[in-house]
Amino acid sequence: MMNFEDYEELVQEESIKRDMAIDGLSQFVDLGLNARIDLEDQVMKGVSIKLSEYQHELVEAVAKTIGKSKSKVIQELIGSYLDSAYASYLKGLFQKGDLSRENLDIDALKSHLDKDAKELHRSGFDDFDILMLLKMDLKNEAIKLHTKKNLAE
Amino acid sequence: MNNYFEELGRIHKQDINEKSAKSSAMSFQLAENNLQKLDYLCKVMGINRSKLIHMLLEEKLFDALEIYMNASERTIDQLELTDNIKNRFKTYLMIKKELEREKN
Repeated sequence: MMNFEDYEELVQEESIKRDMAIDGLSQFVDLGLNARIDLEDQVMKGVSIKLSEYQHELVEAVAKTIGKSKSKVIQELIGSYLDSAYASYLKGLFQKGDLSRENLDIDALKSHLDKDAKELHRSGFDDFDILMLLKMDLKNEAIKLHTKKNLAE
Repeated sequence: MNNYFEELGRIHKQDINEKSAKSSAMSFQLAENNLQKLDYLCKVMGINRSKLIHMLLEEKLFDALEIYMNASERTIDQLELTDNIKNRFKTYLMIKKELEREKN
């Protein structure tokens, strides 16, 4: 059973789609929106990795279930979770003293992220340092860094 | 903190187990800038692409499958999974539920 907020959102979505449609053809707007998630608008490169028999089976089963290619499964897995994986790595790397959620060497982390941000900026990723601080649940540090960057501009 | 050599031994044991599993190649496509990011982060973390993807597969593919299952409003039995994967997925969901219950 849909709750009121979901229903309201659905009505709003339908209304926007009707406005977007040309000559009232809103089903084609839907068709375009659904196709949009598979658009590959960037230059793609082939990558080869080694998988165990079980990993092959797993990727194949998921690909079959969602009706996409195995390549797409790996691609989206990286796109969805790479930042979180790296943020988790940093939590481990900059752990200070006894294992705890709070014991992080913030200064060393920020200096490390500064280098990462400069490197990844060259590949078109802006403010990677701020993004990582947010991912690591260090909102205040992220705001401070954002303000500092804005003042420097 | 544990003994350095004990920790290193555990890490190497895991690496040896992974290396001894029979493996074969798989190719996929990635946007050029995402590949540069992947390679840079792998270099910083001291692992290769395959190792990173193995870790993501192990820790996140069932998560992704669960998100898909819930969003598409299907049940496990409606997903076209092999028996082996279906059983592992069921176990994963059971453990996750148990961990969430313990957390609350």
